[in-house]
Order: sequence, then C-alpha cells, then structure tokens
Amino acid sequence: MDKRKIEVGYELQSVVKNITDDSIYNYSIRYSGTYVKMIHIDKESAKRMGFPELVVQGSQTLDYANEMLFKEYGERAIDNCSVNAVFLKPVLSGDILTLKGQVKESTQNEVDNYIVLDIWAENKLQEKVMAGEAKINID
Amino acid sequence: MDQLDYNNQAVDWHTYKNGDIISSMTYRVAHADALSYVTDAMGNSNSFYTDNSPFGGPIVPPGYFYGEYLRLLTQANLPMGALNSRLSFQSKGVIRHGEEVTVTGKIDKFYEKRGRPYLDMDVTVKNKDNIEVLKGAVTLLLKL
Repeated sequence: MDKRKIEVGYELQSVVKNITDDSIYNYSIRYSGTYVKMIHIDKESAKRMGFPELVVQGSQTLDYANEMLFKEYGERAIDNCSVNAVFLKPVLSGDILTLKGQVKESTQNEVDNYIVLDIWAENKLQEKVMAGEAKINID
Repeated sequence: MDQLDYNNQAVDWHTYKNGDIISSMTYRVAHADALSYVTDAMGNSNSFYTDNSPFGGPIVPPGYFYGEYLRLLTQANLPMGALNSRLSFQSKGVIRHGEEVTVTGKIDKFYEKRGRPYLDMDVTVKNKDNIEVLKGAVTLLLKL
C-alpha cells in the first residue's frame, strides 16, 4: 500500500453519488416489510412526514462512505475497522452526495497499527449532511 | 399503511425497558440478494462483492446490515421513528454469500434531548458459528 495513504493529512479520493428515486428505493425496499410505505420508498409517505421527496436512509449514506474507504484501503476497510457518523441534514432524491475523508491520526508501533480518518458527506450545496470517523487497522 | 400510520399503531415504546431484546432474525444472505444490494442499491460492483475476494468467495458488504435495525423494529411492531440521527458499526469479520447470519437488536436506552424522544439501540450480527462479525449502535429520533 502506498505509504502516503496512512499519513496524517492524506485526503481520500472522493466518491460522488447521484441520488435518484431508484437508488433510494432499491436500497430501502428491503426494509419495508410487507406493508409499510416508508419515507424512503413512498413519496406520499415522505410528504406526510414533511419531506418533499424520498429521503435517503442515513445507513445508505454511511455505506457510500464505506465504498470510499474500500477503494483506498481494500480489505482492511472490511474486516477490521469501525465507522461512526451523525446525520446532520436529510438527503433527498435529486441531490448529489460527495463523500470525503482525510487521515487525522496514524499510529504504527509494535502494538498498534491503525489510522483514524474524518469522513463526511456533502450535498450539492456543499453543506455537510453526515460527519463522522473511521478507524482502520493497517496490519 | 404508511410510516406515520405504522408509528401511530405501533407498540408503545414505554412498555420496553433498557436492556430488552427487541427481536432477532436468522436468515441466509442469498447470493442474489447480495448482488442486488451492491449493484441495484449501492451502484458498487466491486469484484469482492460479486465474484471473489481474499476471504474465499464473494462477500457481503458490511453496510448490507446497517439498515437491518428497521426490520428488527417492525418485527416487534415497535415504532420505526422519524429519522436515524447516528450510526456506528464495528466490523470484525466477513459474511460470505449464502452464509447464515443472526441479527439481533437490543434497547440500550430511551431518553429525551431538547424535548424530543430518542432511542439508542444495539445491533449485532453473528455468523453460523455464533461469532460476532458486526456490532453496531443506532440512534433514532422517535418523533419529529
């Protein structure tokens, strides 16, 4: 692995996602059970809850961040890592998400070998809609 | 019914207490479901998830399980709330296509913040050998 990728300050290559009705629906239909029209799959339900369009699940946004981490760090970002995030603003259909990350801590010694990153997502207005951290073991 | 109606008819969350198991699901992650997730839902057709990986066969992305808390809640007829405000997951291993998993949800705590009700919920994913592969925590805003 390129050693620059574990240096503090390294900026990950961002991932851009066009948010469409299809992408939201396909992600969320698994969770609807047999009878509940959620704000993620049904526009009328979204409107009743105060949203003009389908709403992206926070877990979907966080999984887009996983995609960004995986592209940089491969299997290390799958089986020995952690992510956590807060969701700051709803993301609606029609938006464009840009997932970004930057290494903020890097530890390599006999006992520990990991990096900690800031991860976040911005909407098309460049507002932060998700912010959090990832910790990836580099062993 | 829609989400608002579902929440209104759901079990009163006050009947649950901190530490209660909400529900548990055991199922196989079918190859077709995993493929559909990575291609149709996430638009991420990396070969680890579709063909092969260093883990021996295609694997299920950890994010596949991030939203399972919703199914755990509806299985117990608990409110699914209004919005997910926080999510964290620790990944300790992998799940391969076709493997059986057990996903369990447990109430960590109910509380109010700025006059709004919240639920913190723990989610664990165990493989067929009862080894914990994923451990997560979800914070739900129960009402807008």
